[in-house]
Amino acid sequence: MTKYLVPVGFFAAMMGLLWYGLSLKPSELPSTKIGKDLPAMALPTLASPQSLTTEKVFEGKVSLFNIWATWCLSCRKEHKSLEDISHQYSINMVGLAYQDKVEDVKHWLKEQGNPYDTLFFDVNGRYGMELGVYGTPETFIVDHKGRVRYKHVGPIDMTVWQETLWPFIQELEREAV
Amino acid sequence: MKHLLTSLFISLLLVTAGIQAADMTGRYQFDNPQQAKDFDVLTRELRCLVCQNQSIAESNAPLAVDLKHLVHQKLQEGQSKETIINFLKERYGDFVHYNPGLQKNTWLLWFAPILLMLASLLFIARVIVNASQKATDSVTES
Repeated sequence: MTKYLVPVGFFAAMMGLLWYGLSLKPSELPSTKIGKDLPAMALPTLASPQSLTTEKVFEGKVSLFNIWATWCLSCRKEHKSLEDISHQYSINMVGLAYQDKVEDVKHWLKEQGNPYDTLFFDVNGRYGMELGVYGTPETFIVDHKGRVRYKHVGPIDMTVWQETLWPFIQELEREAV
Repeated sequence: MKHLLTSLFISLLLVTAGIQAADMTGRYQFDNPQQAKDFDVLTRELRCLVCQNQSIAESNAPLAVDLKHLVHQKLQEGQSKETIINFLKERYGDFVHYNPGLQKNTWLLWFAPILLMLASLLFIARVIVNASQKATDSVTES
């Protein structure tokens, strides 16, 4: 009987390892920026396209920092949720239009509404690279001191918002008081 | 006929592969051959994060193209391979590099083969010892 113990045990261990492997999501990379300050920024915004705005817009409040583009299909789906969130919740919503044309962005916002308190333009994608963005949409939660605290990869829907993001934001707001 | 078709197919594959390779090196100009060589090595060692099982050399995803431009530009500025890899690791994480260094969380990755070999050697040794014992037992019994 004990003769079979070793191969059966080995088999069970392999199965366990493979089962664990199935639960991993290699397409959702952890951010290297968690706990660190946002990379220094100086970018044009929708409100002031002629001058450069810095990361000061994040100071003093917890923010949702959404990286998106008009050429990104799942961003279209996400946009509606962001609109709803901006109407129903009190949150500083900052956007970054990643590798996008200013005209396209303006057109999109006119059509679908603008949920952003501040919208940055990252036309050449350099700031996205600083942040380690590898696929839109990606969303960061930034605390009142301008530090990155959380990253969500993929579109935000109301379930993700209510179950994960909003509780996390409330936690950070309590921390800030 | 069948042979002819197969060889035709293979030569077509080779030709397209050749075109791809030529396309890749032709697009970037370098000041010296060492930089071109470094570019080749780096773009093969860096992972395309969108199409995760390809290197940025193999991929034409927008991010891979951007990263190739970045590597080219940084090499032209005279930055070393290590500096460029570290720059990308700081932003995208260790996952971006296909050649993981020896550090705390890669310890198992590096030494698992040696551990497995030791374990199998032990196992084989035990089997041999058992077998020879049985052999001597049976000899003494008879």
